[in-house]
Order: sequence, then structure tokens, then C-alpha cells
Amino acid sequence: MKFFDVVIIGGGHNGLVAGELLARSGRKVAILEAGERFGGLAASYEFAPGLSAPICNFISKIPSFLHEKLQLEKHGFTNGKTGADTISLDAGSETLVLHGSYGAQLSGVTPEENEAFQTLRKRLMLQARLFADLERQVPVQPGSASFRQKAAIAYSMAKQRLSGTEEFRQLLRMALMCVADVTEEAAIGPRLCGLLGFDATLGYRLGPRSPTSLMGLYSRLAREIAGKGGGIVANSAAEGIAEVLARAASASGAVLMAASKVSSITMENGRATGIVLESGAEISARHVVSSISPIATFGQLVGYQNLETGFGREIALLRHKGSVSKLFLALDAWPDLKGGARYVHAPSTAHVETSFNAVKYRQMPSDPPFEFVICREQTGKAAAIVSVTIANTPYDLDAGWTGGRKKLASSILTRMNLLVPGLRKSVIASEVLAPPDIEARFNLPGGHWHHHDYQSDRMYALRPALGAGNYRTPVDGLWICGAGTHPGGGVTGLSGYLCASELMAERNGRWPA
Amino acid sequence: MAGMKAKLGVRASLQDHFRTPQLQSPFHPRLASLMSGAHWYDWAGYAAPHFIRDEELEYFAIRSSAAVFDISPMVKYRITGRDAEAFLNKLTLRDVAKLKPGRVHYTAWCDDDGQVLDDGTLFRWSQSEFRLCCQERHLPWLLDSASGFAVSITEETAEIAGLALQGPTSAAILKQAGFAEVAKLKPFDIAGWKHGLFEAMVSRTGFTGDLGYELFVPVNKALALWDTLFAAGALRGIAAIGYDSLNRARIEAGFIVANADFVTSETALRADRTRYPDEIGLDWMVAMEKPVFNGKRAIVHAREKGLMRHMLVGLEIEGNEPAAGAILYHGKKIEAGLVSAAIWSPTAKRNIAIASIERRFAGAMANDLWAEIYAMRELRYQKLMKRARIVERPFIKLARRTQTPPADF
Amino acid sequence: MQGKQFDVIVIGAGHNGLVAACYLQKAGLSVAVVEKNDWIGGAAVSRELHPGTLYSNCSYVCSLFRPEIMRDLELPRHGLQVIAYEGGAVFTRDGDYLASYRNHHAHRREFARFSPRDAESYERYARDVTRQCRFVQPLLLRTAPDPAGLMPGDIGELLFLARKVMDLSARELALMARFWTMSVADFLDEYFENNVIKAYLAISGIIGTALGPMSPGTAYVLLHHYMGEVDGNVGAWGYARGGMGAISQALAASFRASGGTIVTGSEVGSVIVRNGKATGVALANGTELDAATVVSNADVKRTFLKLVDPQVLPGSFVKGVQNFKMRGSSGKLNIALDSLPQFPALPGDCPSIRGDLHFTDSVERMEKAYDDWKDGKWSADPFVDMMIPTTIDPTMAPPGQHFVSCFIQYCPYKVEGREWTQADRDGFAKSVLDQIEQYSPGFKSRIQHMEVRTPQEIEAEVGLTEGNIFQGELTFDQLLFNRPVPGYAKYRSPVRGLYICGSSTHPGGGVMGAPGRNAASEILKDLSRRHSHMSEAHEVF
Repeated sequence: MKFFDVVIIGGGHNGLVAGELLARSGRKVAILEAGERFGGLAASYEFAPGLSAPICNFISKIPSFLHEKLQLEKHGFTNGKTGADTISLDAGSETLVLHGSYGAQLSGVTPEENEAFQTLRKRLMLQARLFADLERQVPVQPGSASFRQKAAIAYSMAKQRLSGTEEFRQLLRMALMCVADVTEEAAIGPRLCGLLGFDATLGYRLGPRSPTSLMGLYSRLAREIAGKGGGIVANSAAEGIAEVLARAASASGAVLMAASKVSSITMENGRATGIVLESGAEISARHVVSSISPIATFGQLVGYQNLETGFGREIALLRHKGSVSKLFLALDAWPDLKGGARYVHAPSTAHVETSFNAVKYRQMPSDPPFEFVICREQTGKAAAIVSVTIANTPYDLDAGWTGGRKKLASSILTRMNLLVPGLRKSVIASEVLAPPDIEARFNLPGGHWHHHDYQSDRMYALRPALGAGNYRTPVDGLWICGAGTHPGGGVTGLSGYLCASELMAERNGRWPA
Repeated sequence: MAGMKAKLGVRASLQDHFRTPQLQSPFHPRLASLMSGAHWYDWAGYAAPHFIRDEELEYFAIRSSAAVFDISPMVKYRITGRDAEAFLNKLTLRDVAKLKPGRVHYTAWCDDDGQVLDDGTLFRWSQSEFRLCCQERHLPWLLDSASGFAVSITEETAEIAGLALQGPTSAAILKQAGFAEVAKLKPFDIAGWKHGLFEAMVSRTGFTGDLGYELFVPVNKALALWDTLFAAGALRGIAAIGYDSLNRARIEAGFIVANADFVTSETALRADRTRYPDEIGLDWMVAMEKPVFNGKRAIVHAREKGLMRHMLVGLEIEGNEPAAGAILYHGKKIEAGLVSAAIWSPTAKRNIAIASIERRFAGAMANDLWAEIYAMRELRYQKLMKRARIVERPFIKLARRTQTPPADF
Repeated sequence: MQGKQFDVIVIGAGHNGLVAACYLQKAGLSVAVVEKNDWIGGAAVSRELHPGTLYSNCSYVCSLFRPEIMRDLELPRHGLQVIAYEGGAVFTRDGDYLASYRNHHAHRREFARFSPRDAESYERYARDVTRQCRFVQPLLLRTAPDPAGLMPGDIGELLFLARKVMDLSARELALMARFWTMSVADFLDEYFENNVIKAYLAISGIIGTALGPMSPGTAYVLLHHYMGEVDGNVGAWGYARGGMGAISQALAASFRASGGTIVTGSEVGSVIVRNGKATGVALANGTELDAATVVSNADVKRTFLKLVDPQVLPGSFVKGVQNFKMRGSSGKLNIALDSLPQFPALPGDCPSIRGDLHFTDSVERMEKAYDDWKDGKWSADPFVDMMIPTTIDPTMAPPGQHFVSCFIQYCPYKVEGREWTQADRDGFAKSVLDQIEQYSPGFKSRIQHMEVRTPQEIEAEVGLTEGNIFQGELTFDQLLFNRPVPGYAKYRSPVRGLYICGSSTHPGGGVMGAPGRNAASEILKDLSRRHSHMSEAHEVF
């Protein structure tokens, strides 16, 4: 039997980040990936023979401190200075473009709208700073905060308070609001309302009118702050973040094992002692770190029978039905679009909200909002690859996804063709990845990008559940570090980093900390 | 559609339950005919007797001849399946692997925070068949705990009638009724009894600290069982009793009652009212060698960090005024705890009580404990401050309880 | 009345205005309440709109009204009686019903008809919600602190809150954090599996809100319907004997008995402000009344956007008031019936008919009703909260006849952006009556008289902006220190001497009387007057 200090389940970006850091600290680390390629949802996907596209169109910039820590520069990954432009596809007198850090400059709007937007943006950025701070801290567990942790939170709050009485009051008023009310109060035009509503809710299973939906936008803006104003950058199919992180982990001495699907976590007297692969091979380890979904980790690999009832109940109740689908297109001609930019179809709050209604009743929305990026194809088999991310497409579609995929592709293409005339006829290959497909291909229950709903009741120390909110779990020796933990989804590597730092600081491995 | 209609049929057929919010136990006709009035209270939705004719005389039936107490309202779950033992090992505190088929044990179960949800008795019929009897209903907790186990759980409270036959002549009565095996039954043993009129499950268990048995039959055989016992016991002083006399006996025996001596964690509105097993005298149950069971981590943690703040104790209080509900003081001044049950014990001839006290007053400071008793005497409270001494439970130990084969008293 | 000098003028004789007026008058001030309608009571009224039948035509049940106020103002002596009623029922489309009973075992067995597991999960649910109620209830009669404020009072109150939070165990804290932000649908999913049971329990999460059961924040609204009590019986609901107007009448009687003046049929046109200080009010007919203190029971928008000259208010405050959400989402049908309606699904002797009756048997149906409202339409398949108080209150209709109150969600303030027409009103009423008729054949033929109230009628008659029954949404951004405007949550306004005391202020709507009492308390503090007639809030042990 092989022995490692740490065995990491899942070679997604968080698993790789944790693996790199732990291996670099001198620990013997194995990273086990069920699929052939590392990177999980950050990797690219071959949707037609020879044609690949990134699944995640955009990745959040890895926070600069982590970028340095991981020495990504050395491995050929540069943190670009500016993020991708966001272009609204929807009709206005001029094309609406958000330049720079989430619309630091706007084009295609009236001066009044520009001013209203900048006022709102400034305020939201200020508020998101609190999120950005909290995202880099290990969540304080209720009832067991150390002085250092309390001080860190107090400092973050004090910074907010020092931004002025009015701003502080606005933070306390707005934090749990719906994005629709916030944009309406700001009196920005319908396209900006639609865009912010889309950005705040994509993948969150909320509509812009759902209270607390502004948090989704904070989360996005926090990435802007962490990435120093270049919050998201286009991912690349050929040499994306996944490959770079895998190389970095490998260089630090981590053993990367592809096609190694874990079937269970072995336990001895209530403590995790290693894993068993589907092949039957066993690997023992002092610590097991799971970067896959908490539902899969606890439900499948540990088993509810090995968990205390209350905790198992919380895990089983995690809302984990995904609502984001992918559409990949290969085009035989480059359309009139800018590579690397983010194109969005979300004309108004009402539009995004109406499409969210469908999710509630397991229906396919008639005109779902979406975003896409267009990039060059490397092998020459196509002129361009378009990777579309579609909101509000429910995992548990009543009519079933068998006919649903075609219907969805057709409705998206119809809409795209209206926005980009002639696009439909240049499509030479396409594929839809609906939430059930993502579930099947990535062993991700519910096909949920964030592993489970990233909503206000499942954030911070309660993500994924009380008792597992600081990367430790009720199973001694078992750690979790995926998107199902604080600070949640988006390719930032923070969950992996925070988990690794907690593990390295661990003395006796006892719960609760 | 047809299936839905049929389902509605069952559902709709149960609509009229609101007319009889209090159910009658299968023994109700016999209890009612013996009763001198209508001394009913509500036990889990059933009419149950406070007493039949006279509480005191019924108490002496328990201690001197044989008493019959209807335990049908007790909540009963049937737990079967390949993983039944493993499931129960996770659910409860004790090691179920040590419970042999044909045996019963007293156990308790906790939530993840190590707070006691309930206590009860676990009957093991065979390798894979169990019955769990308890005070509160726990179906959602049992079902959620069963996740990952091949086990089936059904509540059978309404299907199974139960009688406790307790007292010195109880064995003789069973023998007289034709249950030959009674002589062989050791405490906590179970045996089947094939009578001409019914088949019963008999266990040598009880809630009185006396020689005694509990008998279970399907509800349609309830009256046959009753009549058989009363016929066999006619010359041995058999008597039906109510809860009030049983309560005296159980206090003497030092047994605790959920939601009387401790608050169960699923019903507590105040989080500080719930208790670790160690705080209600059940620390001996906790089988730490089991890898996983509900509450283990929290109990380990609490024991290590000394978080157990309370303690359940038996008290002997000077004088003869029962101290039910009395506040306990250290040095007559500092509040130290509360008496949850108290009686004058006719058998021990002592003023006894079960109480919850703060742990810090239980050690060296225990010799300065006082009970503040308010004795109502013709519309005036007689306020008494009486010395209380922590004593071993049970307050009475009867050799006949465990003697095998039992003597014919 | 002219020529008489008052210390305080209260604008609006709603229940909160009257509560504030009573406490101020009892403190030795001379108080006048000025009401635009010819009757008093605001949204707590009993009106004889059909001969012999009293209509609780706005609010229709009583539970949250603070017992401390009833006692202080001696309302029972002035005629107020609150009578508890038995449960209620939701009818299912398959011809059955789910009832709620006061008897614990009957309640469990009724739920067990639909799901034995849910019947027992209810215990844990009730425990968890009760724990939240126990936390929130003591906050009702306290002024919310300003978290950005540095006054000793603020710091003291913040410490009080912090101590309460610190007292919680980790699990309670976690539950609280989740409970305050979850949707009632998600919250119920954590306890229950049966749709009918969830639909029945979800009701308390949406009544009066402009949110659907799947909107985050609605779990908290449960508390506004659970933390009430009838004589210490927490969570119980009751009828005011003689209709909800009995509360206002008792308050008015108490007020007059202590020497107060009520002027009806006098609409206030504006609050007179001189040098940044309120000096009185000008009636719509031009009459001016002087008073050093003006208290507005009108909602915050009406008060500061209509009655006060915006020039005297800071821009950020006006913006805050504009941003305050008061969305009309409910309507009412108030009906006089010539006989008791029959519900074939319900056994004739089932006591549930005396409680709240509902016809939406799934959370999804309720959510869809909300979707219609978001699109500016009344719900095609509405959520109806129907009550027949005359089944236990003999004072409201002649024997054998009945008053039926149907509270309906959702109903927009404007129909797809335009004003309501008579045809719209008829269509709205029809959607409700058609639903009822399905479960109570012959209901329509029993109708003697019916009043249709959309948010527009509620606004026009009661004065509630957009017809919002809580004088402002109960979302977190509008609770506690955020209600109505951050920095102005202490019943004061930027204008010295001008106060607000309606449900726009903490702790919000629901015929609690708490805003009126809390406002009076703050005013008395400013005037350095005694509080001795104001009993301590009852403790929650």
C-alpha cells in the first residue's frame, strides 16, 4: 500500500492549489483525478472531435498574493493587468461596453447614466471590500473564535466604518438586498440593470428580484478587488489555468495521478486513514483532503452511515441543483465580434427575472440570458470557437433533457443570430452540456458550478455546514477544500489555499478546532 | 390517477380523528370498568390512569403482590434489516453488538451535540430484529439516522399492546397462567410465550425495581392477555394500577423519566436546558470504543474540556416532607440545583429525591446542600430548609428483582 | 377646537397614532389626533357596509397587539376583548383538506394523514421557530440602536444585542443566521416533505409581503405571524370581538377618557416647519393648528414626500424615503353572506371552519401567484386567506348571517402600469370567487354584499402608500435600524419636533401597537417627561 502525508481527492483548481502548497511545505502529496485531465471545471472540454473549448469562459484572477505564492509567473502564467471587456448585445442607441475593472469606464451610455453607474459602482466596490477581506480569511466558527480571528473581522468592519457614516449605513442596509432594487434605486438604464442582474445571479439560483441577490455581485466585485481591478480574464482552451496549476503542483513534488477515481475514504475508529480507488488499490494517508463536492465527499466517499445524524442531515439537505448550461459552437468564419471579450444577453431586470421563474418550476425559459466568449481555434479545424454560458436552465427539467438540449441550443442560436446576424449558418459543430451532463462528466451531484447553492444561508462559516466551515470536518483527518467551502465558486484557488494553510497549522487534528 | 384516488381514500378515511383527540388503549375497557371515577391523564395521546381506585394501595400492590400497568401508549419502533445492529450502534450510546438476541438493554441516544434526545429500552429478538421503546416520538430522527444503512423502521405503537406485571408474585402468576419458562428468565431476558389464546413476548424488565415482567401482544389479543393474567393472579393479589403509584416505585428504584427529570433536546426551547448523558447519570452507557455514534465527538470534547456542568443525583432529605420542585442551595444561600422528583419512600422509610445539581456542588461541597421546601398547609406555606445528602441510587435494592429462578413469594 | 392649544398633534387616527396619543396624553400633555376620514381606526376598523353587518375590512385578525399596551391603556375596560379561535384548514385539489387543531395530538394526527414523518418533524420545526421568536420578541418594545451611532444609548443597546447573541450556542447562532436570510420554502424543505403541509406553513411567510415563498427573507416573516399571543398563549391568533375596529374604539375611548381630543373629517395638508422645527399642521381646508410636537401616524412616504416641504429635508433623507419600499401586494374581498358557506370536503362538525381557510395546496402555486404580481397582474390562481369571524363572534352580523374576510395575494397597485378600472376589479374579484366556489359550491349565491379592495382603494381610503399593509416591506433592508431610513430609525426625523409612529417604523406592521408606544417613549424622552405610566415590556423567560 502506498503512503502519503496528504492525499487530495479531485484535481480541480482548488485541489491543485492545495496540493502545490502542501507539497512545497515538504509533505508527500498525491493528487487524484478521476478524469484524464486535471483542472476540473477550469479545464477545457472536447465537445467535438479535435475541437476543445474552456468550460469556464472566464476565470477570476488568482489574487495577487496567491499568484506570487504559487510562483505562477515562473510556470508561464501572467496575471494580466486588465480584465475582459463586457459587451451588452442588447439593442440601445450604441453598443454598451464595460471597460476596465467592472465598468471603470463605460461606453455606449448617456452621461447621466454613466454618472449614475459610476456612483453605484463606487459604493458597491467599497462594500465589496468587506467581502474581499473575508474571502481571504478562514471563517470564524461560531462560538470558537480566536482573538486573532476576532481582530481580523473587527479590522475589516472598522475599515468599512471608517469609510464614513453614510457608507457604513448603506452597507448595513444594502447587504441583503436584491440586486434589482439596488439598480432601480441607482437609476441606471435597463441594459445595465439587466447586466448587473445577470452577473449577480448567474449560477446562484436566484432572480434579480430575490432578496440577497446583491451578494452575487459583491462576490464578483470582490474578485475585481483581489485581482486588482482585472477581476475576470478569458480562459484558454490550449494553455489555461488548469495546465499551469498542474505543472506547478508537479514541480513542487506532488504526485499527480489521473484516471484515479476514488471509490471510498477508509476510516479507522472514526478517523480517515486513506482512500480506496475504483481499481481497488488503496492509498493510506495522514490527511485526506477532498476538493470535490461536499455532497459527493460525505454522501458517497464517507457514507452517511459514518456521519453523525445531524451533520449528515445538513449535508443531504444542501441545495445542489445546478442551473447553468454550456453551449459550445465551432464556426467556419469569424463573425463581427471581439475575441476575449465577454458578450452578454440580458436586456433587462424583467427579462432575467422571468427566465428565473422557469427554474422554480423546472421549466425551460423561452429566452434565457447568457454570456459568451469567442476565441481562435488552434488546430485549424474551425475559424472560431464560441463558448456560451446559459443561465436559468434547471437541472431537474420536467420535460427531461433528452429533448431539452436541442430545444435549448436552438433557442440560444436563434437569439444569437438576431444579435449577431449570420452566426447560425456558420456553425459547423455544437454541443450542449446541461447540468445533468456536468453532473455525469465531473462527478458533481446536481451539476452545480458552486457544488451547492452559494446563498446567504450557506456562506462563510456555514459553508457547507456548521461543523465543517473551516475546512475541517467531523471526520478527523478529512478536510474539504472545493467550491462547496468558503469562499465558494469562481476560479480563485482561495478555498485550496485556505484549507492548505489550516492543515499546515494543525497540531492535533482534533475537532472542533 | 386511480392510485391517487386510492391514496386519498386512506387519507380521507382518517379525517374524523379530530372527534377523538384522546385515544383509548386496547386495555381501556378493563381499566375503565375497574376505575372508581375518571382519573385519566394524557400519555402520548392516550387516556392513561393516574390511579384506578387508590394510589397508595396500588403502590403496595407493586411491592407486596402483583401490579398490572398498561404500557401500550409507550412509543415502539420495529427496527429490522441487515444493518439493524450497525444502525442502532450509531444511533444509541451503548454497544449493541454486546446485546445478544433474546436480551433487552436500557439505553439512550443523543444528537450531534451530545445532548440526550431520549432514553428507552432496546429489545433484540434476533440478529436483525429489534424493538425500541421510548417516551417521545422520533421517526424523523430515526429515518435520518438510517441513511446509508440497510434497515427498515416502522412505528408499531398502535399495533402492539403492552402490560407490565410487577411485584413479588408476578413470576408465580405467569407460571400459574401457563408460562413455564418464567423460571429460567434472568433479568433483561426475553422469551416467547405460546398461550392457547395468544402469543406474547415476555421480558423480565420493568420500571419498579422489583421482580417483574413486561408482556407484549398484538392489540387484538390484549383483552385475552389481561383476562388470563387476572384469572391466574386472582389468588395472588393481582391489581391494576395507575401511573401515580408506579411513579413512587420508579423513584425508589432511581429511574429517570424524560421530560420530567431531564429535558429532551428536541423539545427544549432553551438551549441550556438540554443535557449530556454524563449530566443525567448515564455516563456508564457511553461506549467510547465504538468508532462513530451520535454525540460521540461532542461528548469526548466535553469530557476533555470539562464542559459537563450538571449532575443528576439521588438525595435523601431530612424530615418527611417530599421535596418535589424544591430549589437546592449550597450553604442555604447559593442556588445549586433543582429537585425533579421526590417522595416519602414507604419501603425505605426515607424522604428521597432525584435532583439535578451543578457539578461544582457535588464533590467536597456536597455536605452543605439544602432543600427549600414549601409545604402547603391549609392555605399557608410552611417554608422548610432541610439538609439534603447525596446518596446512591437506587434508593432501595430488592434481592428478588434479580433472583433466578424467582421465588414464589 | 380652534383657539385651543395643544402640545402634540397626531396626524392620523390609526391604531399606532392612537397608542402614541394615549401614552402622550397620559404623560400630562394635551394631545389632538387629526383624522382625514369621518371615522377612526386607519386599517383597524369595523365598518357597517351592509346593514347589520360589521366589516373588518382591512386587518382582520389580532395576535401581535402588545399585551403591555392593552394593560397600560386599560383597553379591556374600554371594551376590547380578544377571543382565540381554532386552527384553520387548507383545501386540497384532490377533495381533501389539511386542518390545524389546537389539540396537540389532533394536530399531529392530522399532519400524519399527509406524512407521518412530517407530523413529527413539526415538533422540531416549532421548537426552532419558537427559539427565534424568543430572541426577537424582546426587541419589539425597544428602540433599535443605530449601529453607526456613537451615542451612549446606541452603544448600550448594541451591547444588549451583542450579549443576547453571545448567549446563543453555536448551533443556535447558525440557525439564526440562516433563518433570517432563507426563503420560507427552503426553510420548510429542511423539515418537511409533503407539499400540502409546506403550503400550509408557508402562508405565514408571505402574508402582507411583496415576496413569494421562494424569496429569501420570507422565513423571517414567519416570526411576524408566530410571535403573537392570546393571553400568553404564544403563536395563537384571535379575533377582536366586534371586529378589528374594537381595538381602535377602545384606544379612542381610553384616549378621550384621559382628556384627549380626536378630530375626524380633517385631512392634514402639510406639516408647518419654521427654522427647521415643526410648529404645527395646516389642514387641507386651510386651518392651522399649532403644536410644538407633531407625530405622524401616516407612512414615511406620505409624511415626508407629501406633508413636508422637501426643501427643509436633507437630500439624502428624501432619497432614503424614496428608496423605502412600500409595494402593494394584497387585496381584499369583504363579503356579507346570507348563510354559512358549506365546504363539502370538510366534515360538518369540523371546527376548522372557524379559523383561516385556504385554497392553495402547494408552495409552487403560491409562488406562481407571486410571479403574476411581478408582471403587474393580479394572480390568476390567487392565495386567499379566508376567515369567517361571525362563526364565533356574535356581534358582527345578525344570527345566521356571516361576514367573510378574504385577504388576497397577490394584487398589484397598478395593473400592468395603469390605473385599475371597474372591469379589472371585477376580473380580480372573479378570480377569487371562482377559486372559492370550487371548494364551496353555492358560495356566490349566498352573497348579499361585497366590497372589493385593491391596493388603490386601500391607499385612497386608509392612506397607505401603494396600499402596502405593513407601511413598508418587511425585508432585512427595512427592519430594525434600517426602518424606515438608516440613521432615522428612532421615530425622529430631520425636522425637530416632527416624529413618526406608524408601522413604517420598527418593529413594523401587523397591528402590534409597538411603533406607537416606542415613538411615544422617545418623544417623552425628548420632552423630559415621565414614563411611569408605561409598564416594562413583559419578560420572555
